[in-house]
Amino acid sequence: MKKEKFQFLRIFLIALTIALSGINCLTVAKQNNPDQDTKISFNSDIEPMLAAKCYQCHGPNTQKSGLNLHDQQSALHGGGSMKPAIVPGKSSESYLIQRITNENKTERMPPANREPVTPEEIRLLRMWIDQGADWPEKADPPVGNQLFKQDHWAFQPVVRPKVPILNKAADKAQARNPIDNFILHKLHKRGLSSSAEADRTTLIRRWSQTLTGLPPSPEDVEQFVTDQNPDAYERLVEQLLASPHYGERWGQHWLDIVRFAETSGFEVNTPRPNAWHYRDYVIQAFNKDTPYNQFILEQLAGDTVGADIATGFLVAGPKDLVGSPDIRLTLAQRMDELHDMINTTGMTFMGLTTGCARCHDHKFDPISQRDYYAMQAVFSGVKHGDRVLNSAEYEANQKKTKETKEKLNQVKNQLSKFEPLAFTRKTLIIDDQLPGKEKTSRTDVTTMMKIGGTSSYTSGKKHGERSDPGDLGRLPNIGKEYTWWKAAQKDVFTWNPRLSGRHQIWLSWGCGLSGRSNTTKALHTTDAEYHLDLDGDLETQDDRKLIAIINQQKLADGSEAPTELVGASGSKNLWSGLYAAGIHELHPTSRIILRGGSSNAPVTADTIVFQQAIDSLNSQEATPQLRPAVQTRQNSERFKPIEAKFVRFTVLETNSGQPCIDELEIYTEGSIPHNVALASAGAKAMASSTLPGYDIHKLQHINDGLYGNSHSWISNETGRGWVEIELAQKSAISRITWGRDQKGNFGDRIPTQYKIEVAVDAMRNWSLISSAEDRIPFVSAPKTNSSPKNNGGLFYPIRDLPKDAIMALKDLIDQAKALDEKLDKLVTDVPMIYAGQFDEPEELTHWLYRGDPFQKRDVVKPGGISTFKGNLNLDNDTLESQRRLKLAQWISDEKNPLTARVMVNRIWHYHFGEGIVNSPSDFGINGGQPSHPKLLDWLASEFKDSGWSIKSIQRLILLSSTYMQSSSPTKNGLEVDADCRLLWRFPPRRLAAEVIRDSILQVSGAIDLTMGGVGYEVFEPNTNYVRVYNPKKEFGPSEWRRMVYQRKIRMEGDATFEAFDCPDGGQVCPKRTRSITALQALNLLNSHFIVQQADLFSQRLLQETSQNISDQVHYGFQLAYGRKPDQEELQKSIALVESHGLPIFCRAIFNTNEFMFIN
Amino acid sequence: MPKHSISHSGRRLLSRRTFLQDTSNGLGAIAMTYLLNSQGSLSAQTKQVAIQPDIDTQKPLAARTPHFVPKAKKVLVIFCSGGFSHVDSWDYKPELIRRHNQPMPGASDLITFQGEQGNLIQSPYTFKPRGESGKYISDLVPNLAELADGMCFIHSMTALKNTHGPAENQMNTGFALDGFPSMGAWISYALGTENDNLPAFVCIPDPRGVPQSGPNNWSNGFLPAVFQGAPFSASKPIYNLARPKGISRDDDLATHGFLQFMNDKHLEKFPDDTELSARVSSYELAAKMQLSVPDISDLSKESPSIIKQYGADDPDPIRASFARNCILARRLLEKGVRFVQLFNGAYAMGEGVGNWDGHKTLKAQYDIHAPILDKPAAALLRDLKSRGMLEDTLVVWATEFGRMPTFQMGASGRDHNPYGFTTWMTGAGVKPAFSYGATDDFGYQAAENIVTVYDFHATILHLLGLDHTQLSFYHNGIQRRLTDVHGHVIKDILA
Repeated sequence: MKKEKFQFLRIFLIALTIALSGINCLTVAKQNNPDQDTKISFNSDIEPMLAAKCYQCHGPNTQKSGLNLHDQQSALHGGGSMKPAIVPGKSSESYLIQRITNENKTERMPPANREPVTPEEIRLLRMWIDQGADWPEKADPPVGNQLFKQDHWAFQPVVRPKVPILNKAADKAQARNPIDNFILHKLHKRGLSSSAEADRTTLIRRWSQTLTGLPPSPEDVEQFVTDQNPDAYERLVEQLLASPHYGERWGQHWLDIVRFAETSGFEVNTPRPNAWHYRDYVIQAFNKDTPYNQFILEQLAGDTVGADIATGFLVAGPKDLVGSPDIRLTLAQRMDELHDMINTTGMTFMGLTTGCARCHDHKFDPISQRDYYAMQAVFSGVKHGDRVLNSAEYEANQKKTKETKEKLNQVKNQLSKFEPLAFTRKTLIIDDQLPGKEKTSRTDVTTMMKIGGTSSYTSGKKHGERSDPGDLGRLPNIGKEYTWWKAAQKDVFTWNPRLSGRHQIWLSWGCGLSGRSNTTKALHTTDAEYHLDLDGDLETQDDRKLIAIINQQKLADGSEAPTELVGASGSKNLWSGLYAAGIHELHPTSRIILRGGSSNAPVTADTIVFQQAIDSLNSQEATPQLRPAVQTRQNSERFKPIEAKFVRFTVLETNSGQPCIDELEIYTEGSIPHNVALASAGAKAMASSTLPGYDIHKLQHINDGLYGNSHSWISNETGRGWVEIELAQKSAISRITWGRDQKGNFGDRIPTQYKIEVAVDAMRNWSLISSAEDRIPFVSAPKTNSSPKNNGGLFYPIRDLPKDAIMALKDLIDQAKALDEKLDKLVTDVPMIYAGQFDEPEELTHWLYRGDPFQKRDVVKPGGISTFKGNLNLDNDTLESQRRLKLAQWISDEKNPLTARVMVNRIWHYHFGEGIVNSPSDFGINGGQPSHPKLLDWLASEFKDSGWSIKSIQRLILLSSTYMQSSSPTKNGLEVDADCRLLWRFPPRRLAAEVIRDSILQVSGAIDLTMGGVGYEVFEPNTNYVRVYNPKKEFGPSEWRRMVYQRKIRMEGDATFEAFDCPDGGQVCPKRTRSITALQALNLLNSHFIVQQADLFSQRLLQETSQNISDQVHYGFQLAYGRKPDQEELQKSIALVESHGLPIFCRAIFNTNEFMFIN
Repeated sequence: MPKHSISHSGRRLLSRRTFLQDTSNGLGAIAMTYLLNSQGSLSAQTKQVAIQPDIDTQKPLAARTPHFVPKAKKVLVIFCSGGFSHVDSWDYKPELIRRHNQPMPGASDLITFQGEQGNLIQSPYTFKPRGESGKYISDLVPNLAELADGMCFIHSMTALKNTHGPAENQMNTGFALDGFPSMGAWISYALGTENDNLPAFVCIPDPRGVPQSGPNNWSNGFLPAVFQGAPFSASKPIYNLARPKGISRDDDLATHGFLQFMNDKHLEKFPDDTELSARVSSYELAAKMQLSVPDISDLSKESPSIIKQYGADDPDPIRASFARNCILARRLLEKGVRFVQLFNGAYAMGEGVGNWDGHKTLKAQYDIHAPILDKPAAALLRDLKSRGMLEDTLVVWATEFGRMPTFQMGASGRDHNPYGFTTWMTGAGVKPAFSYGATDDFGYQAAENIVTVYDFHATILHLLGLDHTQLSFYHNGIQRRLTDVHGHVIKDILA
């Protein structure tokens, strides 16, 4: 060993040891002896020593006695002793020095069982303190680890090596292409020889399984075995490479490498229904033999070159979707997300474990922490999420959407003319109970007697039933529940409206039969009395007057309630509707009293309504003037034109959580109303607060012109908050619209009580223009965001409208509904892909001390890894897409030493089960050494010279005599090279999960070879917030597609085949483990899938052969193994079929080693 | 079949021999030792590099010797999912009573997982001194509290993350990200198992379903699949264990016979191929499991008094099911299963409904969950003790994080708290009636002898005779460990 190399190895090994023992790499401290004048550097002299000797007990993780020497403040203040550990300029007064130099061994730090501080280190510490204990606010930028020069083999340029010359005639005869020269050369050096060529039956099976993942059909085998043409091999390989199923097998390899899955992972593991496009892209890219450098470019920056779907690569990894207002959590999640992109990019394309440089310079490879953050800057504008797939369909869709929107706007404009004005009269609605609210004491109702019970209205949507949605002009059921008493001629309940002045009063009650359990089946009372007590004092009688006597068996309009009993199960309880009880003068203390009738039959109480009576009103109106209930989607507020400069929407109550508004639109008066609230119209938004930590809920979304939860504002106050729009100039406005989620997907966070005010002056002298007071109370209270249906009912106020106007209105409503539905469909028809969302970065990227997002250091420009000429000359104002493009160009550059090597090694790996380098995603110093370095470089050169054609490298491998060798073991081979790294035979191995499943389906004849599109499911559907994946118990033809099309759930696998080392999509998987377990055996013997396929296999044998068992067995062997049985096998098989049936034979065949192995 | 040299298919991943032959990985081990010895510099400070277990490819689950003499041979983990509130159970904070309904000093702008914090709130459960040690434990878990004299508490736990998925991942796999091997998988990989007809690692999901991060809690990650936890419970058997309907025992025997014939014949062409013969062995273990697993899950052989002690006869089906899982845990440990992980709490039903995630109405939720856990788990500990099994079994009680000493603004429950919480151990190798570390006066942050999850794992491995810095597996450029590059054994709690 040369001295230099020896030295290098030594340093490397020490570093390795230190790294593995968990101590920071920086402990390799400087050994130079600075003289007194030398300025001691905290970063290079002091901190590494503190880290090595002190941090274990007094560092970022542990602070014994409360002292943290990692933190300047803590060091200056001291720990529990309250003595400053460091007194700048005065080493002798510094408690730290006193403790580390203490004569008393029990007092001395570090404790005796730890590594002591050396005298040299103490000297440095003293000098540093005496020089002022300079503790840089910002530590020096991390430097590339200079310990490791770049003489590692993989970092050298690829130079095409000479092909070794073979001397022996036998070798010359055997070598089919240069690959064999390299392999044979090395084998001879180790005293080994290669094996003879495998027979054609074995070869066609091997080529088929490797290239397409499917076994050849008996006909294919027959044809190949008897093919007399000299180019039979070449033609077969060509045919298989051209098969569309080639891309399915090789696409799967790539999907493993890039951790592709179709759910988010982590706690909620939510599906990504639009992620499958990327899978199809990968399959097609392999089928088309897309040049690899192009393939790289497309995956990193496909949006710039017309390959939109390819960027699914960037976001194929997991993402923690659990949101929080805790900024610590939100930042950490974002850092993890970017880390996944940096790490996967580095490992996938360059075989570099870039992720290791997140918290410190890479411990083995020349990747600095700064390089890591340069790559973070490249990806800093990339976010997870769906994006529109730009295509002709999309353009057509957009055109239609635009037209439909315009039509809808016209209709809505016309409709708005029919909308009642908001807040024209003081309105009060008092229920006997407020549904969904705590039924605690309320000041606006009083119970005078013990309640007999509470009953719900009969469920249903018919007139008066619980979910009666109302109709044009007819109110929906606003009662929901009613209260009842059995109390003849007694006061039972009062409503206290606290109003003064002339008011119209409407009453409602529960009508029908009394409670279901009542055996007397008594009807509700026929003469319930409603009194108005003017002073509210029930003792005084002279101010009390009877305002109505109500037959509670009838509806408010006087029609009979159905009295028929519905079997023994109960009866109908219907809401009465509103009964006009006259205009009355009220005082603030006045009460409406409900009094039992003449008999003991139940008397019921429900909602009553008060509305201010305008002076000109002489007789009471039949119905109050009410507006529809608040809806999730759009709500409209119409009012008399008013001048406004400021408009404020104040939320007073929500159905749950902090309120959300997706868009607030303010329209001017006039024949063509304009939305003057838009930011693009110069309006400015302010709010009482905004929920922190969510990009999709920022204040700017309130007036960005975009609907839906992803473009909404949420306040940071539970149930409250206000948002204000300052218009560009004072305008006359007459209508405002707003919604919680105008795309209709969310039903939580709805403002249910609110007020809207306007002001013209900067002093904000507010005038109230609208509120929820005159709206029908919000009743449906969806708790979660999974139930968007918040139907405000069909009610549309049409009081005072002539009949023909009602007809016109009806028509408009129908038109609006139809257009709304059309628009919904257009929106869902937009082709979306889970391929990332790209925005220009909002913030500069800093490198983070120890990877901690709260310890920002200086700004880093976008770039790659500097050692590999990755300085991309980009600036912080470089466009986001250009950053990715430049990174891709750098990675795929001809001169990049790693890219081609890494890919040809992967190709090799998937042919032989092991790469020339056995760590396919790590070509760094800690990765594997190549078994055939020259062959690797020769292949890399060929790869580039072929125009980065993957298939051209495969042709070379597949048609080499190395690949075509027999797999039979030899004694010498096993002794010298048990692992077969030198390839003295073709290494046999167990098939991958996908190949096993697909082969079973192929052999049974059940396989559905439909390519592309949405995958099939192997789990029962469910919509839990945290998804639960229960395996399906039965399978049918829809699950019999190739396994690459199985919807890939992160962290959950196919119940039968996951056990065969399927990666779980949590981490990248460049190389599958290949284990053998009892659970695999159980799955292959007993799973529903296998038993069903064995059955189908046996049916196929019966249908496609004669009744002769021997024929059936023959065909079974040919389908499953590509060969005929020998006599012994035939006899045993026939015996099995005769005594146990054909399906049992088929099940056994699927379990045999011969079926499960590639030979 | 005699064991000869390992074929290619013997797989370097499973074998220490190939590990040593492998130039890349072997470099560290062999060259290092050689180099340092030859220079005479192999000093005491130099730690050894990773040593991987020597695994027989034919019997990957065969028992293996640890790095040094272990205190414990088996582990039972009782994992309470959802974030079990330490301030309402194990960590007595009189200051919360004194400052009930007052703001937490220095925390006026504190934002935690679900948002703003309200005032400090004393526990709705009364704390009392328990056992001879007088350890204060609350009435939330009265039966477990009675066993305080055997418990070794760690009151200063800290977690990296404050959402369930990542935090659960960390507690059970060492890493907050998905896709890393679980603690049970590492231990099976290191030690194999003492039985020959059961998996080395069994996890028993709660009768209500699986916890937040689901199967990732018992995943093999990048370790070979043979080390994955086998999930089954007293009510849910192993998938595909039973012979399918319509296939008789005779059919099955004939299948095995034919399979043996075909595989033997195939092996003639590939003599000495251990991967092929390992598959043959795997069918033998599968057949044994078909007998042993139903037998071990059959609780009808348990005495009525045991059924009663555990509460397996409780009329409430969830309580009874969890109690049956507890009995199953003991039976598995008795049969030599190396690592049993018993889950209490599931997420399928939503926040706090099926587990300890008491955000909204902590008392109402805990009043439901505590009786499910308390009596059966206490009976399990008593049972293990009376059978002498705690001599070589380490019992670990854990959760992903604790809860805030405050109530959330506008709610009657506590938010997530990764800054300080409690776990405990009992049984082989740990000090009984011992409390280590402490949180501050309110139970908000670990203040004394702060313990990370890495330390926690390092200690568990240590008790099993494993050096956490040595137990490793090469994956994607790194010798991966359960403890990443961190962790210190908590020596103070070792008996």
